[in-house]
Formats: sequence, C-alpha cells, structure tokens
Amino acid sequence: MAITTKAQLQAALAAAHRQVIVKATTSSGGTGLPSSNWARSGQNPTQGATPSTAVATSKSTVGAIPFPSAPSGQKVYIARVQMTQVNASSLEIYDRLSHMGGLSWNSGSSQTVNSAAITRGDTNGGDVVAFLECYGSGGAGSYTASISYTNPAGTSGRTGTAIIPTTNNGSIYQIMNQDGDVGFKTIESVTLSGASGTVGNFGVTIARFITSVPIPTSDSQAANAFDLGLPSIDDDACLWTTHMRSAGATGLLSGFIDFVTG
Amino acid sequence: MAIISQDQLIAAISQHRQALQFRKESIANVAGAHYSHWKTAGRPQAGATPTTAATCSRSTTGGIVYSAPGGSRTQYVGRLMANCTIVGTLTVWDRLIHSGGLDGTVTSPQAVNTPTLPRGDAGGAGVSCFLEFYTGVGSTSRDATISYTNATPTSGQTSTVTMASSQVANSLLEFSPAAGDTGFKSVETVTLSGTTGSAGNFGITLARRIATISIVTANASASQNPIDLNIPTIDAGDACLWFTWQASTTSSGVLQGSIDLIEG
Repeated sequence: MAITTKAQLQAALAAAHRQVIVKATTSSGGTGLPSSNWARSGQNPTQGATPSTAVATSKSTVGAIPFPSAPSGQKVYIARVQMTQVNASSLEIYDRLSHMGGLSWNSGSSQTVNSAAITRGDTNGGDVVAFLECYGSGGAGSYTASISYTNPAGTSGRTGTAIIPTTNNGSIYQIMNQDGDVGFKTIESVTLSGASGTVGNFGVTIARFITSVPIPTSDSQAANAFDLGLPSIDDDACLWTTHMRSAGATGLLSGFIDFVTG
Repeated sequence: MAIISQDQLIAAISQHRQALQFRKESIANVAGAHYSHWKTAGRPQAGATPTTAATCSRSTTGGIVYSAPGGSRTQYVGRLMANCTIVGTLTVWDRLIHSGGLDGTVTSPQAVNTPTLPRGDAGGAGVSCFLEFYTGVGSTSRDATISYTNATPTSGQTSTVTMASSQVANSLLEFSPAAGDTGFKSVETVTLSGTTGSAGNFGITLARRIATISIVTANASASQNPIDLNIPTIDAGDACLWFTWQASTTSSGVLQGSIDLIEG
C-alpha cells in the first residue's frame, strides 16, 4: 500500500509519531560549509560514535534518528518537520548507508577506504551521494582530495574530487563524480593534495538524500508533506541530518519530525 | 495523463518522486548580472561549448541527470530547494537549443539558424532567447541584434541587446521579443554593431523557464513546494534542466540544493 489520497494522508497525519530532535550548538568554524550532525552532541538522537573501519549503517546504529516501523504492507513517510536553529541554516535528511573513519589529514598518500556494500535501495548506488566527513580538524590550509571509486555500472578506478576549504571538525565535503558518472557503488581510497601537518580524523560517508528543510531565520520553520515531497523511508534507514553553517557556532538545533505510516 | 486533482498530486509525490541533488562551484560574476551554470563544474557536470546550433535533451551532458517518466505519466517539478554561500536568484530552465562559435570581431551577420524547437509549444510561445558567452569578448561595448522568427511565424523580426565592455565568460544577455511577440520560434542571425576587439566565443540559447527561487540569506536555504512552483511540467519528460544565476556580488558562491521530479 501507499498514501495516495488526501483522505489517507489526513488519516495518517492524525496518527503521526512525533520524534523530537535536539542537538547542541557546534564549535566555531566552517562558515559556509555543510556540516554533519552525526557526532554533534545532543539529547535526541544520541550522539553517533566516530567510526573506524568501514561498516554499513542501519536503523539500529547509535546516532540514527529513531522512527516507527510500518505495519505489514505499509510504508513509513516523513510528513512534517519543524526546526529551529539560532543561526540561519538548512537541514538535510539522509539515509546514511555506510561510513568509516580514521583517515589522516596529515598525509598526501593514498589512504584505504574500502567502503562497505550498500545494503538497501539501489545497491549499485546509482542514487547516492558521498562525502568526506571530518571528525577531527587537521592543520591549516585548503586541499583537494582525489577519491578512487567504483561507479554504479561496476567500473572501478573512477576518480572523484572533493574540495576542502578548511579542515573543520564536523564539516562534510561532497565528493563529485568523474564526468559521466552519477552515484557511487563503493569507494576504495582517498588521496589528499598535501599533508596538513595535523593528523585529525576524517572518513568517508555514503548516503541517500531524502529531503530538506530551510531554516532561513532563527525562527521556527515548518515544512509540510508537500514541502517535503512526502518521502518514504526504507524500513532499516539510518536517518542522519546535516546542516549548512551560516555562522561558525550554529546555536542549539531543536524541533521535531512527524512520521506517518500508510 | 496529468495531475488534475489533489489526490493525484499526493499519489504522485508519494509514489513517483525522484529527489535529485545538485551542486555548482563558484564562478566569477558581475554583481546584478545574469549568469549560466552550463559550463560550471559540479553536479551535474559541466556541459560542452556548443558549435553549430543543436537541440538539447535529457541526455545532453551538462543537464541534470534524471529518469524519464514511466508509462503514460506526465513529469513535473514537485519541489525545489537551494542554498548558496551568496545571496542571489536561481532559475531552472529547459534548455531547448544552443549554439556557439560566434565571433566578437565580425560585423557582418553571423548565421545561427536554430533547428526546430524540440519540445513544448512549437511556435515558441514562452521561449526566452539569450546571448550566452563561453569565452569573454573584447573591451569595446557593442550592440548585438538578432533576426528571428516569431510564433505566427513571421521571419525577420529583430531584437537588440548591448554587450558590455569585456563581457565575461558564462554571462547571459536576454533578448526581449518585439512588441506583440510572445517568444522565439527560431533565430537566424546575430549582427554586431562593431568589433569588440576580441573574438571570444558566444552563441544563442533558447530556453523555457521552469522555476525560480530567491536565496535571500547566505547559507540559509529557500524551498518551494509544488503549489508554490505552479507544478511546472517537464515537457515530454525530456527537458535539459539548466541553471542560471542572478548574482548579488562578484562571485556566484557555491550553490547546492535539490529538485524533486514527480509523475502523475
């Protein structure tokens, strides 16, 4: 089944499950860069751990936003989001498919990633995006990264690129495909354009975009089912949020997500 | 088929939705002017500089990569969200036809001869016409006049724009249709009022506007749902989705966002 009528949507909204989200302010830095809420402290969801070796993530991974399971034959949707952050921003919601960490900002050599296989949705990764995710800042300077990956057609040795204006804790840097590709099946290695002088910690995260919510001012911003695209969620999704930083320290992020089934 | 009821809209967004993320790196701008992201690196990847006039489609490199609608369904834009490190206005177009290879030093009429419009109203109603610069031209400001055919169709219609001193790469100049005309069916020639001093490379682009969104706060996103957007149709499920940017400062900033295509 699926929600296909106004009456079904109304019925689903009447029985919505409201999940509160509270994340602490971020440390300063990274203005103008998208940032991850994975390792951001907060009450809900629980702060995610910094990963080490590459693993597939799921609904049960600590750090994922909890959501109800759909009754047999139904789907779970995000039907409403209301969010406030002290500084203007935007909130993006992803299904975090796999992650790894432990890479060094102080290396200009190839570093092994060998990302875990995608376990849900298009397992060839034709509709996924990938990021370098910073868990610990490196040294000063800007860098580019060359990323060796396998594309959704199964061709290995493809080369993606990420631009790193600053190595800032919490920032994420989107990996752009080699021309002709869309998506990533697996990622094998990362090579930075230079060593930053500080090891820090970063990794690779592969995710599937779900929806997003603007937070244009410090006021609360609501998005309804039409604003969000009434996205359905995989039963085992590892729900993860990112945000755009308009200021170094973002201030408290708080709000809720309404999940419906139908 | 088409979406003609609220139930059909709900079914379309819940069952037939492609959420497509995009990102374009920053390019040099002149504040207040209009720029093309056709050649900008990012996702989608940069398009090639065209030569002779050619039609563009869903499969043209440089447009957003997406799947055509299934069955007999019609495709629409169901949602648009964007943020940027700089304030400005983003417009999404269906890039119908483009050409390149025009020369900023040639003062005789330069042939364009655009092919038949591939999608939408065949007479060109609602079609916009741009001079698109792939390489900057010389430092002398000149007028550029096109000879075009309107929807009637009447050939030999004219419209003029002024090329600024040192018109830069990626910039766009939009022609206004002559009084009484509603768009451009085809463009035959471009004639400069004099040499700019340097050849550069520019061409004609015909496009149909799909959606526009203003980003009023840097790094804070703006979003529009299908009602805000007037549920614009993706003609024939084959549009070449192209971004342009109206700049507020001397760089475009890094542009990121997502566009949802729905079917019903």
